[in-house]
This record gives sequence, structure tokens and C-alpha cells, in this order.
Amino acid sequence: MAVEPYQSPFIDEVDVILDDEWLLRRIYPGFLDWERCDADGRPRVKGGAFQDYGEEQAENLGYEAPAMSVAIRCLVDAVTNPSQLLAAFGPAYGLVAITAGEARVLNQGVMWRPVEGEPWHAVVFDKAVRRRKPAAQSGLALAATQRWVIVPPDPRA
Amino acid sequence: MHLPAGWDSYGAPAVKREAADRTLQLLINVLDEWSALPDLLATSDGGVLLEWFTPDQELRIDVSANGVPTMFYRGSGGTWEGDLDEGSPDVRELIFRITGS
Repeated sequence: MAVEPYQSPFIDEVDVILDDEWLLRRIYPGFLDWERCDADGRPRVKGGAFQDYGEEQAENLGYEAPAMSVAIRCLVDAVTNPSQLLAAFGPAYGLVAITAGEARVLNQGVMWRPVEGEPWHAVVFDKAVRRRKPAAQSGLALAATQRWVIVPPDPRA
Repeated sequence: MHLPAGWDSYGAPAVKREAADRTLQLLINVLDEWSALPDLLATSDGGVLLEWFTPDQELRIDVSANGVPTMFYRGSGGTWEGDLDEGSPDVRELIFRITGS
């Protein structure tokens, strides 16, 4: 019996969130690999930083399926600045960016889903499977490693 | 494994006991005294993530919150992704291939 291809409940808003739009994502310190820094001393971002919410959390947040939160940079810049996205967290957290186009190359979609106090909030979701798999997470992390926005201090210093 | 709920800044739950127990059992099974240790991380659903990484190769085992492990390997020969069971590539061999130990 043929298996129906997965149909995401989210909509990839290609006409609203253009390919060159920057999407910001906070990075938990444990997902930074300080043993592998680039020429400018910025750490590698591990694929685990780009996991979707778990099923239970996604449901609690009112999402139709697991997805990953990001902030649309131009909307952040319109009302505040990117550093505010880290203000409630410790100094060891970082902030990276991917473009919507980089996500789409990995078969990800992007949908604007503003939440209270965060008009810039959007979700990135996998178009082919319900919850993003490690290969796509690694691909997003590879792109993000080249687009640091706020690099936390090196914990080894 | 003592991360509080919300550790990732996006509200992830704390690691579940079942995932931690299964991870420990898994490590005992696949590591010997010479093996390179993985990076030990949490997943966004209360599971555990193990990672062995070099720029050319990557092995990742995700243990879900209810203790079910899946594996992802990327190397020169391509990628492999699926449940960690009798049909999966040999984890010890992959660790050796990546880390040389």
C-alpha cells in the first residue's frame, strides 16, 4: 500500500518571507563547539541547536505540528535590536542567522506566527517530515555557523 | 542531565529519567576504555543527544524522551539515518572511524 507523502499543516510563505530575509535563532551554550572555531574565533554551531519543539510542547504552544521558533530580523530591527533577544538569558547564549532561502534549500518552510510581545516571531518547519531530522538540523547549523550575529565570550578565555 | 526545564531558552523540558537510563545503558554497550567520549547534550523533547564530530564525519544518536534511540551518520560515503537496532551500521566501528579510538 502506498504511503501518502507528508503534508505539513504550516504554509511556506514564500511571497511574504523572501529568500533573502534573515531569520535569527538563539543558541544554547551547550550547542556551541569551541574546539572548532573559524578564522575569526567564532565557534561551530551544533546541529542540535536547530531541533523542532517536541510534540507535547508544540501542542502546548498551539502549533499544529512540531516546528522551530525564529525571529524575522527586519521585524526585530523595526522595534528593537537583536541583542534584546538575548536579554533574558545568560551571557553565554549566542545569536545566529540563516536566510529563509538557505532553509528552503533544505526543504524547510517559513511561516510568520507572531506571539504576544514578539511580533517578529516565525516558525521554520520541515516540509517532508513531521519533525526535523538530524541531517536537516546539521544543514541549518552549517549555514548559521557562517552567519553569526552575536558571539558569546569564549568560555575558555 | 540536570538541565532545568527551559534550558534552551525556548522552553524545552528537562531530560526524562527513561532517556537518561537508556543513554547510560547504550554508552556501556558501545564504548570501551579507549573509546572517544561523545558530546552529551539534551534534546528539545526531553531526550538525550550524543555527538561524535569531525568536519568530515558526524555520528549522532538521539535517545527520545521515552528511551528509543535513532542514529544519524554522515561520512564520505554518504549519510545513514534511522532507528538504532540490529539493522543499523555498527556504532563502535563508526566511532573508531570518526575518532580513531
